[in-house]
Amino acid sequence: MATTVIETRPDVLIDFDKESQGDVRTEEMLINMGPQHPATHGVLRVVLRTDGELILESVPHIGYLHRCAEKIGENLQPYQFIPYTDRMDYLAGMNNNQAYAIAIEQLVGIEVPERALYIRMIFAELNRIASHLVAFGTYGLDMGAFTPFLYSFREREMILDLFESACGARLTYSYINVGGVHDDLPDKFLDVLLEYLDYFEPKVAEYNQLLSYNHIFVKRTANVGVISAADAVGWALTGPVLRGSGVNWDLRKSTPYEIYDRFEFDVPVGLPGGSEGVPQSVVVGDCWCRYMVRVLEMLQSCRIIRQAIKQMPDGPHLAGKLKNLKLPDDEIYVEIENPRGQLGFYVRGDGSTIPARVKARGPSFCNISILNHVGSGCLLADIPAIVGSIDIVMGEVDR
Amino acid sequence: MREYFHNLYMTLKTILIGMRITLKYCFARTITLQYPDRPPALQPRFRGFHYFEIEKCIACDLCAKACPVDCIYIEKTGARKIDKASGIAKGGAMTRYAIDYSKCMFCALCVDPCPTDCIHMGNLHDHSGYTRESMTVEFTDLALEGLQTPQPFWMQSEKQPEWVKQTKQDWINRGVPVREEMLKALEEQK
Repeated sequence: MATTVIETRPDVLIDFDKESQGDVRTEEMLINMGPQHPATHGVLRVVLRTDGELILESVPHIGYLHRCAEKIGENLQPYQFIPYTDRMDYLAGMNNNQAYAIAIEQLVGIEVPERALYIRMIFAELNRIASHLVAFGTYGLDMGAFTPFLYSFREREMILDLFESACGARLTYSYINVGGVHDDLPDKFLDVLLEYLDYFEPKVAEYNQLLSYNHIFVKRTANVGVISAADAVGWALTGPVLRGSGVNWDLRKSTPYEIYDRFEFDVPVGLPGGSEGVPQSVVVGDCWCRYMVRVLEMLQSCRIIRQAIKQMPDGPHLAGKLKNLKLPDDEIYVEIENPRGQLGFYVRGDGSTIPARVKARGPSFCNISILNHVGSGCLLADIPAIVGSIDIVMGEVDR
Repeated sequence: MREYFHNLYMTLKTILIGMRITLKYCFARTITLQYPDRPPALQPRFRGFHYFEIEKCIACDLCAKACPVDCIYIEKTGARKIDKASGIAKGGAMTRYAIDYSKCMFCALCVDPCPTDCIHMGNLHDHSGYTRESMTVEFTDLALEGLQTPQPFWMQSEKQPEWVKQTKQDWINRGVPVREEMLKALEEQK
């Protein structure tokens, strides 16, 4: 019997005889994937120990994009650190701004005006759509489908135009600030937003036809890189990766922050093959489930935004002066649901205007940790599929 | 064998479904913006390279203090104060007002604290240079030429589409009414 056991995954037993009717073990080889590789979504280096096509080990090496973000936060006032949080998870700047702003507000005890809360939430959800559109497009690109990428970026461009009209930037927004939002909404913003939602929602069905149910795509992603629910919880995975494994856990629903408890929405989770709208070959927790959770979340975000537009109150958009806030001698840890998972900020004040300690919990950082666990035992071509489905942003992994 | 042909059939079928969508867009209007020939569609709140009204600046250093990356350099010979009647700052001379754009991250935090509303985010979206030093824009030198915002290299060549010439003219026109005051800000006024 020519079986081989992978040290890191004792539960994976590969029977070479059964697979190939003969012993095909060859010399082991180390392959560097990245740091400059289009399928690693940034400067991620994965060292692969391979035996032919088979991956025995896949170790992510990180740190190429380290910019001391936390240390910078310990040298700047909170309102000055907001632009740096944009650059952590650069595909979801609004959500990062929001997380840090909430942390400081709760630490100092600032009451945020109602209107600001609604504006914040609309932008956070819009950013979630924009971020998932990138995840969707680039995942298609990783799997060899170029067209969906162009389509998703077309829709994302319109969201960026909306952002630009409100805050003047297209990527590093610094819009959500401590105590509210930087500017009030521009004229007719909500009308344009509604128009956009009417335009966007039918497009998701188009994406499904283009990519989600494409037979080649399903073959490449279904039953690949399966993460069981126990593994997902055990490795502290969050966001669509966790929900793809069938765990119904979304901070917006389970521990609602800000005003999320006022809206109706569903939390999409990975479903087994054969359920409604799921191909037969899909297994809960595989790449296809994680991908599909993102596509469905975009529609849920639209639903939330529609309700928020209806309830939008009038009033101020900022709770007074934000500068020279005295941070009390206290500590706080706040987590919010970022497009990639739970983004946490720990802030400790010491009575001065500058925090004594800032720590960020990046969802991508925790999610990438499972790569070796799911990667070993699969084939070389599945590694881009797994990395893409975890949807990491290296700016946040390295910070 | 059967599975093989089933796969073939499904692949072809789903690709054709996708192709149908692509075909639909063959006859739709294109959304691509032909940028160098057409102007980029910038929103009014766009945060581009600053434009700076030197005649209103009292060199209070608030913008430099708010800057998270410390990229604003201000030097003056004495205290400056806004003259209530004309709205123009008087007093010491502005000897330097420079922004290092190799550091600037366009967060607009310098705009908010300004008491005289003299620094704004402009609508210039790109800038280039051959040296690192050229990335530091000396707004005091620009004031000598009657400009409030830097002019990038690419804009200085003659062969430009119409919208570039227009933008350039707009920038020059904006400085014309306060041309003399801009020059006065560079000297000491009692």
